[in-house]
Amino acid sequence: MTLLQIRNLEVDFPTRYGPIKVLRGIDLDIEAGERVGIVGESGAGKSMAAFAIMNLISEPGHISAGSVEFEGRDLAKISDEEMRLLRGDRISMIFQDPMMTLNPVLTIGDQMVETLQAHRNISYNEARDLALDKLREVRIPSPEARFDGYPHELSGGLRQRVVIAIALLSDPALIIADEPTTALDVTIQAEILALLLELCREHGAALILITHDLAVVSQVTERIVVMYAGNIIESGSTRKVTDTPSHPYTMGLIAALPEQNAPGTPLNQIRGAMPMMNAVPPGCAFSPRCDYADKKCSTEKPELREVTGRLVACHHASKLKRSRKAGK
Amino acid sequence: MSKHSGKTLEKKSLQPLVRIEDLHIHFPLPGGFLSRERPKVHAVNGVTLDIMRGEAFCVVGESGCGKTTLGRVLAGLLKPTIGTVTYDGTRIDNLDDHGRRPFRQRIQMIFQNPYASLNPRLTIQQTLEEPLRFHRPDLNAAEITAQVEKVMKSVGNDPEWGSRYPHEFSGGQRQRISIARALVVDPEFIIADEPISALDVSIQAQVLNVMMEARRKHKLTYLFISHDLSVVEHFGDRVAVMYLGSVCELAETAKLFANPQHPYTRLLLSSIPKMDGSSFVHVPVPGEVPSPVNLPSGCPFHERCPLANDRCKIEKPILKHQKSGTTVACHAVEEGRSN
Repeated sequence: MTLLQIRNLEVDFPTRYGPIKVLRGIDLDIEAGERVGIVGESGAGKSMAAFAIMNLISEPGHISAGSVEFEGRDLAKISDEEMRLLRGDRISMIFQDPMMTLNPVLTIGDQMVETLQAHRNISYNEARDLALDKLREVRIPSPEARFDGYPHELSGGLRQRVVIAIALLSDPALIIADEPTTALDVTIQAEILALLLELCREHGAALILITHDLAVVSQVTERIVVMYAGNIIESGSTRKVTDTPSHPYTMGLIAALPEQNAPGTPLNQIRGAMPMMNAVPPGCAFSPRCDYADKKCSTEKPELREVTGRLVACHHASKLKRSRKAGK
Repeated sequence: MSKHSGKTLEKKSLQPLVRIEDLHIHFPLPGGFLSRERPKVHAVNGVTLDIMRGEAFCVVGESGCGKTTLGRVLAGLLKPTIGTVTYDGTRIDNLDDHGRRPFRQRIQMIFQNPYASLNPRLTIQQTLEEPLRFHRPDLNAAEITAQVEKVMKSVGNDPEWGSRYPHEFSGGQRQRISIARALVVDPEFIIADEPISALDVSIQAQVLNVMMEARRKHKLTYLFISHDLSVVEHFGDRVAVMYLGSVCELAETAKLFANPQHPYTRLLLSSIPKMDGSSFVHVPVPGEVPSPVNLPSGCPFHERCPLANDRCKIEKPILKHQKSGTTVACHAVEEGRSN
């Protein structure tokens, strides 16, 4: 069953010099229980996609075209009140910095009870029991004591566990995690990722994991969506995309990882940098940095097309047989 | 490149460029008014190591392990509480500002955040000329301009950018400007503290390449501080793993990654996310890094270590040379209990 269906989604930010498009028409389907990673560099629009789904784009930005259908309703069109009831209930979000998302002046327990009571008509004691269950589920040591504690008393890893517990409170159908482990150390990151994977499986929740780290995505998700300058440029099963990337940008991104290069040798690099969103090149946005670009690439924008079992937005994708392994 | 220079590093024939002996750095905390001793953060606790001329020496560890503090002491930004730092045969940790001056030219630093480490009110040209005017009063204006241009080109920046300000550049370009600023005075030793952590993946590769190229051209010695193990594996000749202010393992990079000895090193390496399609198996280790205010007795890792016994709780292990060619501070490895 398709849980989330995004069609031709565009997000604009009006400026003095005219609107800047930060999402330039994306299509994305998420099945119930599916784990999908959105990968890209800063400015690619991956967080913007998440905020658009949650209808949380800050003013003056707005969804200027397209639809976000979730469980049969178009989230781009429903009222603020309906959206508010949906957030934290059917869709939960986990952000990068747990210190920013937890309220520092409320106890952890209060924040959890507040969330529950906002969506359900239950007593404090019932909410408390549910909250303690979730704290146990994310393996917080001595949950009763933590329930009455404040966020600053916890380490970064434990805080992120609390955030996950809050996200799970109402058994959401979809969890959106925006760089959930970027602020954490590598050993803590591994624990949080393992926990997130386990809980999504257990609860049958779909997951959208947004990150710049291809390795993180490849360990947790079944499908990868690669974004560049406000567009999806490649989308397919995690194995296929990481083993045989087919868009020149994905190829370059993977080839640039240190572990893909012999120690001490110069790393494969992609020349240049991602364009600013107010100066996206015409045609294929990646063409000025691409080794395979020709005239067509700088005039005609490539659409996502199926190439060897995944979707790629590149005029030359079917010709580019160079796999990740051959690129070594 | 690193393999080659690794071979030429004959330990006996080469004097270490930097020698750190029994280095302790403590930061006093507010409070403890009535007690005899003020509480303090034990950031670095007894680190002894040598950095050889021409090598890329890496320090890895998680936040709070003391790797940045170590780098700042070498750069002369902090004074050690106990211990000495010797640079090219001269003790430098106790020098005053005047005595330190010649070493500030020989030792340069690259910081993590290129948005914060460049002065927003100076043009790129001014930023790059300032260290030259200070350290090389013998140069005239034309020579300074020529040197700045040469360095800008060597890091892949257009010398035409000189009249522009830092905010006009992207993160990768700014970090290359920071590298240029370090290189402009012809240093021997560069301390790079997480130089690529703030950058995007495709830009990380560009900046690492510039740093490796600079090492070859200028015969640089690096102290490379990072939490990113895959970058360290690529960049380093030798690597020291730090935990709670102590070095727990020190080895040639290839050896450390192929055969980690210390239980903490093993934990770190097993935590790296991998892209090879292996299923996600994470062996959890109980607890998190303890507070550096109240250090655990004995081995700093013993509370979380699966191999810890009574000896580990009391006696702090020291770095010892192993048959495998690595140096490890672990009683379990020493006693052969680790496999």
